[in-house]
Amino acid sequence: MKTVIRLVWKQHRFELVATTVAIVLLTGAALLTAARLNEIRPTNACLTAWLQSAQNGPGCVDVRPWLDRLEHENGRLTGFFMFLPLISGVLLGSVLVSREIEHRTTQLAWSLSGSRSRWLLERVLPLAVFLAVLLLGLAISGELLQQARAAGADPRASLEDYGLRGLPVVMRGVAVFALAVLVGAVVGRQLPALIVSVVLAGLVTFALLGVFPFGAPSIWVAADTSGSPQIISSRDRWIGYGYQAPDGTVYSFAEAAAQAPDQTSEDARDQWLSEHFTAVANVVTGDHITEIELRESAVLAVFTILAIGASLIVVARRRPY
Amino acid sequence: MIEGGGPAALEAIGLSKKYRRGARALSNVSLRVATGSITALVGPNAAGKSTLIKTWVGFERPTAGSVRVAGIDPWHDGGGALAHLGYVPQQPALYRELSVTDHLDLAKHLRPDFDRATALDHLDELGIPHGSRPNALSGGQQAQVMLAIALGTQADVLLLDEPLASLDPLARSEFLGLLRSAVRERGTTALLSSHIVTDIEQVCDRLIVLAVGHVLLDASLADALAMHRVRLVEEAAGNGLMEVGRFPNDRGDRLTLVRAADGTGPEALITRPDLRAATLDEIVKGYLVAGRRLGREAGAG
Repeated sequence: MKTVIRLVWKQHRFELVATTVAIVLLTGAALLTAARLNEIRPTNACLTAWLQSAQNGPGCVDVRPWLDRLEHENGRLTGFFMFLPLISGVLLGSVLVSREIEHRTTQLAWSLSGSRSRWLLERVLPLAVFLAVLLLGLAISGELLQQARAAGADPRASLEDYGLRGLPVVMRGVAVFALAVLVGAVVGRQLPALIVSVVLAGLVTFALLGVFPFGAPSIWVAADTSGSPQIISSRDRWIGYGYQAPDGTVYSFAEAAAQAPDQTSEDARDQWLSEHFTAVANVVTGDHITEIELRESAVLAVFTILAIGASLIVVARRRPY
Repeated sequence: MIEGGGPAALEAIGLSKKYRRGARALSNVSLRVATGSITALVGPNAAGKSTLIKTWVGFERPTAGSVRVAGIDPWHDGGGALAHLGYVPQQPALYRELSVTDHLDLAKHLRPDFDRATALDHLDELGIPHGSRPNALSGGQQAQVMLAIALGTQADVLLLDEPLASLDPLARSEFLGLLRSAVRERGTTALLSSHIVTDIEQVCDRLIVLAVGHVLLDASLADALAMHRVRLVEEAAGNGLMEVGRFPNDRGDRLTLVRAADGTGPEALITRPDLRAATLDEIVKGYLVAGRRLGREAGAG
């Protein structure tokens, strides 16, 4: 195995160095930002006072420098936390098989190896583990950053910045890596595999948003008439809205509006709705974060296994050129 | 045509291969390569030589029929068949990022019975630096590295798919010298696909001519030389003779390659005063012309 790791490292030095540098830099930046936020973190009481009145409470240091750091330094990192795990997975995965096919080195490797499956797994596993370890560091730094941002609140009871910290960071990167390996095996050319993998990684992310909260329970809470989640705690995640009748039944806007006696005037209808229904928002509370993370990770683990399994089938049956 | 006798290292049985785009590469090819022989596989471009070799390696799936390597069908038992095979592709398939030594390490890892010392000895004989990467090696040296890896596998059967095509005469000579000595020492079976007749004469003891996916000739070199003649005049072949193909020689004369008609022995040729012995080069040229004719007919059909 040591031989394979050494040779894989030599073959994919650029991708490995680029990925490592990017992830380590982002991890370091997150840790630094967390430390800088903690340095001047106001107490919860001071922060609450400021949020309520936009003024510093009695005996409090000025909260604004902390908020400025939060906005400027943390804000810059958020996008990177979203995309770097995906880009790293695509970069490492898409070239793993496609480069060999494009350079025709598969003709040498596959004529020497009695098992193409073993050949593939010996390449995929070290890289997957390497990526997972790197992303684990990033995931932990994201968690520490959230802890600093939350100003003392428990980040494990909050869905704020879900997906930018914790286990999903690791699993999303690894799942996209497996997907990119499959794309590379099918396409057999580096650049097309890279492009297709980027598109599919985007679709996977979009699909994950679509199935959130992965079956975790949600509750209906009172909302304003627009269904805006403004009044909901930032720890919770709004996933829909509706209109609740006095008997507790929740209707969609169309269903509730259809019951209004006067359908000719929007104003009259809205008035009737506000009198007979309570606007409610469907939210997942922050204390479900661990359950949701585990469910998403399980889905992505199955996805990863399926993608690697499909790659094994493709590699076993395709031509090496 | 199938020759009887002796265990076959390589076999093709009614093999046909049609690509998805509709091109037919091989059509009902049946042949066997006897164990311990060094066989030349000759044919014009698009004759199906590479397809045939790649089918034995398990890179191509037969459309009909089957192939065997030491009695094993590579499509159904790839690992079993590959354990008997060493393969050198047309273009050296070396990793740009790896040194020569790294390639040997990779081969040793993928094939535990790989004889690294033997491969290194071959490379030392040719003065190929172990630490070099492929981009620092000439085309000939890269081909030599591929051959050294194939020989290091200690495979029973070597498949060499036109490895000499882009090499200069000296590099070809060195490559063939290494091949000949290694094969003779171990009694390995080798199939060498090549256009270059001098190569065939140097190392091969058997000749297979493939054209338009069909086997036109499958004989030992001695038999091939005995059963073919050439003549200058372009007359009808006459009794007991079969015209193979007409081609110009280096002086521009038109020659006709003839062979004893089916059912007639080589003695029918020897007694004809208008015929002279054919060289191997002339035999191959005659069959290549015949192959082109077949190709045109197939295209017209």
